[in-house]
Amino acid sequence: MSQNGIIEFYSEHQHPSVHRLVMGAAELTGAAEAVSVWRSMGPDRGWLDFIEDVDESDDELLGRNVPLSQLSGLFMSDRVLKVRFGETPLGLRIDQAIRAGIPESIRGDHAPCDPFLVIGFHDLFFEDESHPEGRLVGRPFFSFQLFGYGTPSDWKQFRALIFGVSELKELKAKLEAFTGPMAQCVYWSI
Amino acid sequence: MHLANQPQWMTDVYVRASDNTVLSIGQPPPGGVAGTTQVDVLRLKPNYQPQVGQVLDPSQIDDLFEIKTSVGGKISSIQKTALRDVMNGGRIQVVSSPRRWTHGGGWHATPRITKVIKIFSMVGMAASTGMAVKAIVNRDDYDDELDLVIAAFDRAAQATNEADRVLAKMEVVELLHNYLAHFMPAADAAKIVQWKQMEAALLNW
Repeated sequence: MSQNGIIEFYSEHQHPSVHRLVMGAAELTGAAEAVSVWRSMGPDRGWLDFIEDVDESDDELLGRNVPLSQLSGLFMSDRVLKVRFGETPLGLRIDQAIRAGIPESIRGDHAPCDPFLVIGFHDLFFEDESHPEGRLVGRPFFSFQLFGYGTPSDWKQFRALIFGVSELKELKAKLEAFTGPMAQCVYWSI
Repeated sequence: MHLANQPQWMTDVYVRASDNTVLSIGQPPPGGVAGTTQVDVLRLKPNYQPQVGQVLDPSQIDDLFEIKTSVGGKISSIQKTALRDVMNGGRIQVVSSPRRWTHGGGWHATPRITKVIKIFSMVGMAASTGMAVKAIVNRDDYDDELDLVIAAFDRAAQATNEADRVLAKMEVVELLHNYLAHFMPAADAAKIVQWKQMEAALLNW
């Protein structure tokens, strides 16, 4: 029962240069390569699939251990590119910053820090006890996500404190330097 | 114990994201979960028993299951990607538990499904079974029996003296045998609950 959480910075505006977007974001992770790269088989219809209770459309695996320089070339305008990173220097810094910045009584052992990029218009939505039927947040063109297993002990307090963590504020500022203003949210999957 | 030509089950397996090396089984890795993929349940080919330190071979995995307890049973996109990485791009199965995790004062409540998984982790480590995971978590018709197993485990874990603890453990064995007998030959069910594995499960109850 792998419960997990996602911290997400996202932008709903289509960026003029996907190459700059992908390279800028990927380089921020400090990783030499992506663990895996996936691409949707067509335009994203995540929210519709969710509310209609049908299986999500499939993604295709484009490669494992893909060098950063190859990432942007895998983007297609009507598809969604998903880039997964495992343990990264950025993730380790964020993990430490969350543990230092949020009391254990609130975060439990939860510190989402594994980077994941999503490029191409896609639905951002989640479901939880407050939104058992799901909640559609937006349809970003670009998302920089930080993933981690578990959930906090206190969701409300964690949500109130997480974006005050210095490493996350710094990451958002660095992203916004080439993406423009980004929104942010945190949610959990149980 | 190992039953030849029967599928093997493993639960709560953590692998390194970059190369699918098994880091821990049944509990989070000592170094933390960053950079890992957590797999709820694996159904493996007969005679394949990966160990900590070995790279999981997707060709030896018959099924990979993710268990969700939310109302919609929705798997997050990242977790789906992570699990399909384990399968080298192959498909996975998502199982929605009929019991939901409720808020209950700050999300501390231990859900029933966690206990079910612990029980079947014990069984999975002890032996192989022909049970389908969907049957384990979705069989409303035998839910009452499973609740009795859980209650007996609770009593064993909470026993204040050794005599009560042993009695409760004996009760667990009998009740679990009865439950498993719905899914496999009774003779096999009688073999797979091992005292040692039950002690380990109780330590983490």
